[in-house]
Amino acid sequence: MHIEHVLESYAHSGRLSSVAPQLKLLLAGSALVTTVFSTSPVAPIFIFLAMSTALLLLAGIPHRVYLATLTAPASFTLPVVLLMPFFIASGEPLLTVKLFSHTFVATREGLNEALLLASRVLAGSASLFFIIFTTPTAAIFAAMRSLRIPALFVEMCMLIYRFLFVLIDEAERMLKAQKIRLGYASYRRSFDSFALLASNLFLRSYLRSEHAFAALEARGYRGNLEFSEFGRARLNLSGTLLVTTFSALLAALAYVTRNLELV
Amino acid sequence: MNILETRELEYQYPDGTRALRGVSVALRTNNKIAFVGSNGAGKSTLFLHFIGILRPSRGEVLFRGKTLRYDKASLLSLRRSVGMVFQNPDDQLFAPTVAQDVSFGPKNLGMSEAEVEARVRRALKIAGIEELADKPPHLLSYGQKKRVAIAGVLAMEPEVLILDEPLAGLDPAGKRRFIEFLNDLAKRKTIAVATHDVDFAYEWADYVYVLHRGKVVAEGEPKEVFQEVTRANLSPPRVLEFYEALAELGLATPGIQPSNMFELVRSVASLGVRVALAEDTLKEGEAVSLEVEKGRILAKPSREGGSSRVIKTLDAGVVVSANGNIPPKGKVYLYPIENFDALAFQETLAKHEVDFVASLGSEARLLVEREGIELALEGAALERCLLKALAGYHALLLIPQSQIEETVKKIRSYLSGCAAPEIEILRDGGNEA
Repeated sequence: MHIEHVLESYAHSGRLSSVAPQLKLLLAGSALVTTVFSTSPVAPIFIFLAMSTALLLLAGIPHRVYLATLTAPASFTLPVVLLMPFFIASGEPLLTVKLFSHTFVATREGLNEALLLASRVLAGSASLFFIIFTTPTAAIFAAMRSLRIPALFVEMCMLIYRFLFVLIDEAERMLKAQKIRLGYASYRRSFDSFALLASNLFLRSYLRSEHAFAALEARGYRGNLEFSEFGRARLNLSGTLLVTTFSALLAALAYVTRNLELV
Repeated sequence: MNILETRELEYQYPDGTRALRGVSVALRTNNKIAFVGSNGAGKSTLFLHFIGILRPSRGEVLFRGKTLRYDKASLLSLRRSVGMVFQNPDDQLFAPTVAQDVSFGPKNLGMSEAEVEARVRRALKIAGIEELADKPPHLLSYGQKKRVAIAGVLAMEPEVLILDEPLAGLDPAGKRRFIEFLNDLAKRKTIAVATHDVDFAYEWADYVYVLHRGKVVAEGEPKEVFQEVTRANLSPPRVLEFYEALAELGLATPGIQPSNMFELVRSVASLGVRVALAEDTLKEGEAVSLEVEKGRILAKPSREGGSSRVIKTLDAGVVVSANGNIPPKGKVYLYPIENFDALAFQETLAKHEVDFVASLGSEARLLVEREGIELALEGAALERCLLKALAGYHALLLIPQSQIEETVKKIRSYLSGCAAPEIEILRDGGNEA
C-alpha cells in the first residue's frame, strides 16, 4: 500500500480525527514557532515527547508505523549530531580526532549547537506528523479558511496538493518510458534524460493547467474555488482554552530555559 | 426545439490548424447522440464550442434557438443547462475530497448551502459513488474518478450532458457498467458523446454524426450512416460487418440491418436452415421434427410426416430445412428488483430452473453487487437473455419495476414473427401473480 493511503486512513479514522482541525493546527503551529525560536534544546525535546505521546496514546497510532515514519528525520539528524561539533571551531575542545595529516577538534559549543538542531528537527517533525496523522488534508484546508488565511493562499495550497499527485503519476510514467529505453544506462545519459524529463514535465503541466482551467470554466468558475465544507468539527471552548494554555506554557518553557545548555 | 445547434462552425487553432471546417449539427432534446470520428476529427473542439469555452472563428452556436453570446451572464446560463465531462478526469477533479469537488458546480450557481448539500448527495447517488464522498481524488481508481467527474457535472442538473470519450481507458467490465449508467441517465437527459468506439455508438445512439477532418461527412440514424464510416478512417460496427459477410454468402436474410447481436442471429436463424443433432440415423429427405434442448437442437424422425426435412447428413448430425417454427422451450423471467428478497430469490432460481442471471440498469447492478449475485450474462443483458431463451435456456433478468413495461414492449418487437419463448414477470419476491 502506498504511504499516502496509510496516512490518509489514519487521518480519517484515528481517535483525534473528530477534534476540530483548527485546534490541531493551532497546537502544531505554536509548537513549531516555539521550536524555531527556542535557543535551548529543552523546549523542543519536551515538544517532541509531548507530540509523540499524543500520537501514540491519544490518537492510537501504532508504534511501528510512527517509528518507521520517524526514521526519515532521524537518519538526517544522526550524522548532524556526530559531525557538527567538528565544524564549529572556536570554543572549548572536547575531543580531538587525527585523520591522516588532518586534526579535527570537536567543541562544546559545537555539540550544543548540534543538539539544538537535532531537537528542533525532531520536534518540528513530530509536530508535522501530529497534523498529518490526525487530520485529513481536506480538514486542514477548511481550518485554514476558517482561521482567515487569505483565500488565494488556501486555493494555491489545495491545487498544489491535488495536482502534486497528478504530477507524480505523470513523472513516474515518463521515468518508466525513459528507463525502458535505457535513458539511465550511464551516468551521462541519466543527466540528459533527467533534464528532458524535467522540461517535459514543465510543458505538460502547462497543458494540463489549460485543460483544468477549461474544465473549471465548464462548471461555472467565476474566480473563486468555492465549495462546501461537509461535516466540519466545531470549535469548543474547553478545547480552545486547553490548546491556548498549552501554547502559552510552551512559550514560557522556551523562555525560562533560554540559556540552558545540555553539555 | 433543438437545445443546442451549430451553423457552419469554423475554428482555427492559434497554430493554424483548421479543426472545424463548416460544422452544422443539432442536439435534439431527449436523444442519445453520438459524434464519431477518428483522432483529430474535431470532436473535442466541437464540444468545447458547445459550452462556450472556444469561440468560433466563423459561424455560430445557437442555444435554445438564439445565437450564443459570450458575456458572463450568457455563458453562465449556457453552462447551467449544458454540462460537459472531460476525457481525462484528472483534468477535472481539483478539490481535496470527492464531495467537495461535486459541490463546486452548485456553489458557482449561487445556491444555498442546504441546496448544495442536497444536490451533492443526489449526484453522488446517481453516479453510484456515495461511499467515496470523503475520499481524496488521488486515492480513486480511474473508473471511480470518471464517475466523480460526472457527478460533479450532474450536481449542476443540466438538461444536456456532453461527454468526451467516456469509455476511453475503461476495461470491458467498466465499459459495460458505464454504458448501463449512460442508458439510465439518457432516460432523463439529452446525452451527447464523442467517441471512436464505433460498436458502442452503433448500438447505443439514436442519432449519429460522423466527423472527419473537421467536417460532418455523414449523419442520421445509426443504421443509415454506419455503412459509410470507413470514409472517416473508422471500421464499420462488427455486428454489421459480420452480417454483411454472411449475407453476401447467402447465409443471412438479405436487406436487414441488425443493430445488435440478437438481430444478427435472427437474420440467420430465420432462413429456416438448421444444423441439428440426431440420435437415430436419418436419411436425406426424411421428415423430422425438431426440438430445442438447452444449447442444442435435436432432430427426431417424425411419423406424422412433419414439414422439416433432412437436406444433408453430417458426421455430427443433420442439416434440416426447418419449415415453420421450432416449438420454443426457453423462458425469460423478469424479476423486479424492488421485490428482491435473498431467500426467496434462491428459491425462485431453483423452482424455475434458471440457467442464467442478468441485470438491467445501474440500480439492478448495485443490487447484484450488494447481494453478491453471480451474473452469467453481462452487457446488452436483454438481448443476451433472449438469445439464451431461444436456445432453450431459462434466463432471469433483474430489472427495476419502472422499466418492465418498456422492456416487454422491446421484447415483443424483437420477437415479432418468430416462435417466442415465454416471458414471465415474477412478483412478490418470486411468487408470480
